[in-house]
Amino acid sequence: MNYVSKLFLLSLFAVAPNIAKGQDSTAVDYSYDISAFEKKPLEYSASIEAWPTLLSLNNQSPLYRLKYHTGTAYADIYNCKLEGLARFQHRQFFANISGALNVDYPRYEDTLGTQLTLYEGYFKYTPFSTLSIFTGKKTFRWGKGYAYNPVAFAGRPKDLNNIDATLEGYWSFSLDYTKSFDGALSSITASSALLPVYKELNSDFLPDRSLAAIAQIYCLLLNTDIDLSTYFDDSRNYKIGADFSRNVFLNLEVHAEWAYESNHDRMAFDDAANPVAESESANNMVAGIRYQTPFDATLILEYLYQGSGHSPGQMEVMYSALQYAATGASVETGHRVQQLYNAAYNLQFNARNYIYSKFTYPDPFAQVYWTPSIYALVNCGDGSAMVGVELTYSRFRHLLFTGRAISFMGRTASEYGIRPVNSRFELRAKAVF
Amino acid sequence: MKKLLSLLFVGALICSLWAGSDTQALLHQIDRNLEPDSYEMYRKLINVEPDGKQKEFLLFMLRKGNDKIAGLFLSPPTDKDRSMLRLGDNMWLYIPNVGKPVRITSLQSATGGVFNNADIMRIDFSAEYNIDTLIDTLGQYLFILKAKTNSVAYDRLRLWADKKALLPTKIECLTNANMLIKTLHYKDTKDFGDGIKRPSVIETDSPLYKGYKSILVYVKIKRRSLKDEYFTTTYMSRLNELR
Repeated sequence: MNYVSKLFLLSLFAVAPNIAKGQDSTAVDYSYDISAFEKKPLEYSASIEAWPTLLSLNNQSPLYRLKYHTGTAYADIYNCKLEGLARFQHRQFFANISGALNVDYPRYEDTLGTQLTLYEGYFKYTPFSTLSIFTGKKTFRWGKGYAYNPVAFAGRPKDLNNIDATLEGYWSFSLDYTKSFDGALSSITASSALLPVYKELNSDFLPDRSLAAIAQIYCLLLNTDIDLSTYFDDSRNYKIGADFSRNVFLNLEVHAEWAYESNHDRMAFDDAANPVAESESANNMVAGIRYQTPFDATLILEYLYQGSGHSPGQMEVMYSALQYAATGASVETGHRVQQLYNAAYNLQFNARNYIYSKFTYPDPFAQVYWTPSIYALVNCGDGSAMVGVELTYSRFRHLLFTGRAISFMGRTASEYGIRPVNSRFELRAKAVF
Repeated sequence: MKKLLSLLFVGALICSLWAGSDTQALLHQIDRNLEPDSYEMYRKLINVEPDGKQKEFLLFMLRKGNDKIAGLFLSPPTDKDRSMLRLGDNMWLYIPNVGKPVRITSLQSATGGVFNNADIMRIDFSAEYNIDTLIDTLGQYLFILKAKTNSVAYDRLRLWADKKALLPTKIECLTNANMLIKTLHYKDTKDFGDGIKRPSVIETDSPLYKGYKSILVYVKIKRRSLKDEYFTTTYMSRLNELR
């Protein structure tokens, strides 16, 4: 174990007990300092999260042969993330900024990687309680699905293994108008935004010098959340979508989401392992339930249909391309194939039909602050799956611990079986201030 | 004779209706003595474990009428900026990193421990329960309450209230089969100003969480006129701006 990893583990174990210290108290304190509740114009918070990761590698995978040349069975990576948030309010004016510095050290590469990300940074003006005007970098979290949101027209994909992780927004100018009513229609919110793309501004959203507009109407109608969403850009592409969520019984919620894209761009392999660009319309949808058991556990079950994903035939061509690149091709071809795989196929899910399920059991057997959960994403086409087990402990005021084990299962020529990793183990400690 | 019997019957009916409306008015008065129908409030929630260790949450709450309640977590840092919204029978939880409200049920617990969301986002007893029986004991009333609908968290309540102050002293929450789920003990009556004088501490214990205790400490209650728009899913991420 080298210097960096020793330092990492030492700091993890040195810091955590000191933050947890002082949490114990045997007498219940009913007193309070009223000044602690006063709102300050400027508020800020920060967190630091550290997690070592152990990868059990899949040496049957062609991606393993392309990426890990040493024949090793394991790889370890050390990660640290520092997040910060600040917000300021003066009457109807509001400013918010949040971001993170990520540092990672994959020991097999012996390189230190850093990435600074601005999640959000915007100004808001609220002339009336019903109207808000935003300008800056902002997230748009649309949709009712847990694993997949087809209507997230200006959103980034979630990490299913870390579903609560903060996502980066886009630069935009936007408005929200909200109105409440008595009766079957309880409230309506109309949201709209303009997203320009110019040089570095939103450069990963659309080609340079583009403009997109999104709009959504939300209503609470007869105890049902309903959204209608739309997207247009200056290349005449458009998307439309709808979603709903409702409690049909006290312990059973149902939700569904659908979106149609007039033109979805996609990269794939041809039979010679060369990249080929495609463009076609697509329907995407998710439908599911959330059920609370009599013992207060929660089960989420969803069916995902990603029409914009790769077809079974395209997935087979991809497996062949990777096999060719790993066994018989030149180094240059190997790099090209690996690059295209990373850009177009190395997503949480990139085929068409999936089942997602998550079972969470907070405070099991009255053990307060422990939350075990198990989840799986299954490719219905090839039967491969990503399965995860997680345990969180939230006893402390400033600390959150999470242990996670993720496994990729399936035959080699399958979406999850072809991954260069069999299993992934993480142990996270997050301190929040 | 027939006339007399009819008169007696009508008289008894009027008395029972008057008594019914009178007991309902009593329960309604208990509700109003506990909380005004439009206010802002700060509360501390303390979970106590069997070994004495504690975890505290600080909540900012808004309420309007009998179907609109919003709550924002101010601390601890791991829960800061989470919010909950109750609108009629609907309840949502907002987690900042997730970035959008998720439907939850009143039986779940956003804090862990003995308290669940129904306890934290409680509305008037008179809005959710009918009075089955009222027993007039020495110094106290005992209300036996039955939930009006299946969407209410507890099927039955046994509510003891001080006769003079018309404030609860103890509430037992029961299932339909009269199994005890939890007990709430109201203590330390305090004057919060503006005519609000009520117990400032609610201690809760449960046979389902042996050795655990959850305590609500009321820090500040203030009457406040509130707009309906504050109680929408759109405002869940902005509740801090309303403090």
